[in-house]
Amino acid sequence: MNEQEMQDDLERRLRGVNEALPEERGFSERVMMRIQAEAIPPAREKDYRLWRYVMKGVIGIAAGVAVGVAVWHLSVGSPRVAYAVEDVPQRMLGLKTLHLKGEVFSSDGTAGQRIELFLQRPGMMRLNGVPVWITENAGEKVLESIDVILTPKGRIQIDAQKKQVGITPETEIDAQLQAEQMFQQNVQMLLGSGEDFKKVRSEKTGGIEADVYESKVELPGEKSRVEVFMNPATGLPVRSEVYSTRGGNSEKPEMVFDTIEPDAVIPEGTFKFDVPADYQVTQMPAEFSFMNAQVNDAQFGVRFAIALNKKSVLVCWRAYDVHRPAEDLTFFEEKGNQLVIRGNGGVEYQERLLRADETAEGFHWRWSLVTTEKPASAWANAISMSMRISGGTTSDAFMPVTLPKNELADVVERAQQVTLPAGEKGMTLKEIEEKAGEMSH
Amino acid sequence: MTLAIEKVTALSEELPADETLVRASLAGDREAFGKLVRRHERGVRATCWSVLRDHHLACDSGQDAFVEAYRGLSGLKDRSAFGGWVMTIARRKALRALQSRRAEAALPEVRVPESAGSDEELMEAVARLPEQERVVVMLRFFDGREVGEVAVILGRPEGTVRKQLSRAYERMRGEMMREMTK
Repeated sequence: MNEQEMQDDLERRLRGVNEALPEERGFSERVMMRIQAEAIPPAREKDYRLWRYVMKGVIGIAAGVAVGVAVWHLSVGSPRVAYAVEDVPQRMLGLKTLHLKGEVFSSDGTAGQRIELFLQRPGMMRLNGVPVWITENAGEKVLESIDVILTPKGRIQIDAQKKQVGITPETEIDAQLQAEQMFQQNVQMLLGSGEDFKKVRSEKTGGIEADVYESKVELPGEKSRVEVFMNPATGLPVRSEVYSTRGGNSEKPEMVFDTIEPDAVIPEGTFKFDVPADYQVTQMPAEFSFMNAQVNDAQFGVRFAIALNKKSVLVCWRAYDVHRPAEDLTFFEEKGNQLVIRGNGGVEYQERLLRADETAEGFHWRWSLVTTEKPASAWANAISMSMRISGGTTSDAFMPVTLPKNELADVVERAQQVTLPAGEKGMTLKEIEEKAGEMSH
Repeated sequence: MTLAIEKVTALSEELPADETLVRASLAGDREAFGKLVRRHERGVRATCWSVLRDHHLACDSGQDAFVEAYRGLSGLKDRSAFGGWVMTIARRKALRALQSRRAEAALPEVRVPESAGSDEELMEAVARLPEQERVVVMLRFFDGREVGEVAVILGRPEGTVRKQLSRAYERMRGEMMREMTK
C-alpha cells in the first residue's frame, strides 16, 4: 500500500467507526444525572496555596497542612504591657473562641474576596464567603462564594447564589476534630511559622500603634511571608497579612485579616441555618466529609490524624480499589503500589498498622501509627501521605490535631468508636503510646 | 459560502476551549462539565464500541468514563488534553466491561483481548494523538466537518489543519504498526 492508499484506508476506517455509532439521545443528561444522583463531590482544583490548606476539612478539598503544637496549656491571660512574642502561638491556641474577618486574594493577587470565620470550641465553625475561583483571560475571578457551617450534628454548605444547600451528617468526634484542625490551622495562618518572629517596624492600624513582626513559612511549592501586627497592650495580634511566592513569580498578597478577635462573643444563631423554602436541599453522604483523593480506581484518604507527641501521630485512613474494596489490606503489597509518608523538608515517616475496622462497603478504616525520628519544628509540622500506583500518584498533606494531655485519651477512644464494630473496644492511649515507643527504639 | 463560514464562526465562539471548561468544572461549574461531555461523547462512545462491539454496553462504559473523569478532574495536569484523557479512561472501562461480560458468560478466556478488531487499535491510536491533532481528527470524522470548517472552528489556517491531519495519520499508522509488532 502506498502512502495515499494507507491514508485513504485510515480515513475509511475512521468514517466506518463513526457510522457504526447510532445517535444516542440524552447521553450527556444521563451522565450529569448520575453525577447528581450519586452526590459526587464537585471536582476541585488542587491548589497548594496557604489558603487552600485552611479549606481542608471544610469543603472537602483534599489538602491540608500540618501544624503540630506541642502544648497549649497556657491560656489567654489578662492584658499586659510586656509580652513575649514567642508565647503568642500558645496563647492563641488556648482561646475558647476566635472571630476573623479579612480578604483572600486570587493566585495572581488581583481579585479579592471577603471572608469571615467564627470558631468555637468544641466542634463549632462557620466560614462565610469561601471563594470558588474561575480563571478567565483577564485572570482569576470569584465565580461564586459559599458559606459553611460545621456543628456536631452535621455540616451545612450554603450556596446562596444558586439557592442550594448541601447537608452532610457528622459524628460528634468528626466535627470536633475538624473544627479543632481549623482552629489550629488558622492560628498558624495568622502567625506564620511562629518561631522566627523578627520585629520589622511599628505601624498604626485600627487606632493602635502596633508592633509589626515578620515570620516566614516554607510549604510544598510556595514560600509565605506573614506580617503580624501585635497590640502591645494585650500581646495578641490585631491584624495579619500573608504574602506568598510561588515558583519564580514575584511575591503576591495571599490574604489579609483585618479583624482578629480572640475569645470573641459569638452572636447567637451563628451556627444555625433555616433553609428558605425556595432552596434546593441535597443530603450528602457522610463520605463527603472525609479528605479523599482518587487515582484511577483507587481511593485514598485520611479521616483522623491525632498527634501523640512530636514524633508520633495516630492516623485513621483508607486506601482501596473501588472494584475490590475487601482486598484493601493487601493493596500496597500489589506490584507497583506504594505508600510514601514524608514530613517537612522530606523527613521520612514510618507507618505501622495497629488495627483495621471493616466497613459495610467492604474496605477497612486503618488505624496506624505514623512516626519519625527527626520531627520537623513543632509548629509547622506538615505530613504528606502519598499513594503511588501504576496510574499515578496522589498525595494528601494533613494536620495532626494536637490536644491537651487531659483530653487526649478520651478523644483517642471516642475517635476509634466511630469505626469499630458494635460492641468492640478500641486501644487505650497507653497501649498506643507503648507501641509508638517500640517503634522509636 | 460566506453564510456558512459565519455560521461556523458563530459556532466556534460558542465553543470555549477544553481548558476553559475544565477550569470552570474545577471551580464547581457543573454546566461546564456537561459541555465537555457533549463535546467528547462520540469519541468516548466510539472508543468503547471499538472494544465492546455493543452499543448499549458502550454507552454504559462511556458514562462510567465521564463519571470517573469528573471525580478525578483535579488530577488532570494538562487541562487542554481532556479529550485524549477521557478516551483513555473509556478504553479502560470498556476493557473491564468486556472482562466482566466474559466472566459472566463463563467463557474460558477472561484475559484482556489482544484486539476486538482493528477499530480498537485505531481508536487507541486516536486517543494517544497530541491534543492539537486529536481535535482535528475528531471534528473531521466524528463531527462530520469539512477541513475548512475545522479550520474556522479552531481558528487555524486551513493549510495547518491539513498538515495536522496528515501528521495525525502518520502518527496513528506508526502507533498501530508498533502495536502489531509487539
